[in-house]
Amino acid sequence: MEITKYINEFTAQGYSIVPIENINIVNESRNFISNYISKKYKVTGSSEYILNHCHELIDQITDSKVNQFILEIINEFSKYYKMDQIIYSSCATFLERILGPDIASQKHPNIVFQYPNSERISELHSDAPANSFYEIVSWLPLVNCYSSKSFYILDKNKSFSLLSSYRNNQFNSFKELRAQAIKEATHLEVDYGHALFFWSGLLHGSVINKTNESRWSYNVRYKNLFAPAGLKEPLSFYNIFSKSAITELASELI
Amino acid sequence: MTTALALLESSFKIPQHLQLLSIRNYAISNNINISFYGNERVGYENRHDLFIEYIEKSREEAYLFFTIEQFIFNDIFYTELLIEATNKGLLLFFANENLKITNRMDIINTKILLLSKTSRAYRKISKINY
Ligand SMILES: [Fe+2]
Repeated sequence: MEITKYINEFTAQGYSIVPIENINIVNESRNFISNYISKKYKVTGSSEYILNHCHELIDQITDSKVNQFILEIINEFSKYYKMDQIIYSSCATFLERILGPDIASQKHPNIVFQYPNSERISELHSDAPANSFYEIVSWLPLVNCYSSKSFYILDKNKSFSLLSSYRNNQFNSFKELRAQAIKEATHLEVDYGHALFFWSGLLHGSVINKTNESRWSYNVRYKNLFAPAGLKEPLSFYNIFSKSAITELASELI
Repeated sequence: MTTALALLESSFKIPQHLQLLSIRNYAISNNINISFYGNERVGYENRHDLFIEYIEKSREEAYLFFTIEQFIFNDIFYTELLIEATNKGLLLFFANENLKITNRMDIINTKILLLSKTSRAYRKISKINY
């Protein structure tokens, strides 16, 4: 079974790029976003073209304009779609093998839009802590992502070793740690039709997008319903996504 | 628009002005009109005397608490009052958790999610090792 390959890879490295098993719902939701943009800016073209070149439509683009624009899209999007459902159903076999049938998903998922030359990048970090170490982060690009349009990640061993050097003061500053991390990192290439899944303990980040295309991605975090929530308040951070039969039974005894 | 009585957490581990900010913010984004503010007698929070009296006299259709922690003592989640209130058709809101409880299933789901709440000991360990 092919999925075993990706599970083994995920366990060994802490991340894996998995081909989507059900692209229809992803296509539909991507078309929804590009249609919204086409109507707003009165432009035509394929979803891929519109998303890749969206930054050219916004007059005198700034981070705050982009922020407003993305909030609008998330608002519209969430009237019709549940992002946790989209990602889960697109890679259900993989996720159920990793998490089991009792699953909590992030209450407020994100759509990330990274336009060329924006300085609003994601600094080197690991989601856990404060997030739970039992979390898997899903990242589903809506356009092909490569070089600086994508982001970088350090596998399990490299993350452990860099963090241990940082803890032991082997770097003089965060800047030095970051430079070393970027040097050692894998700069991911993820094509549309694939999803990246990574463990919340991995170091990752992005650099300034020096390509002439915009990056668009969905991201949602999942964890087993009963796994520790880390420093996050479970009631405000997670939804119950699915329950096993045994949990349904035990639930009757409140 | 729902009208609710706001009940603050009266040990005030979170200062009153921050609780009020969070309660007002929740009320605005959920279209709730706050009828009045109150809190249980300090030192006797877990008796819920005020809340019980209000439920008995059916004085409000909804309650907006600062946090679900107002129903947790010594790591035990006390659901009896919440069940009683929802059986009467009352709506319960919790500002800090952005949470709404209106029926038995909501209480069950809240309890399940609370099971994953990480203890203070774990917080220490994860900070030191990572
Ligand atoms: Fe992250």
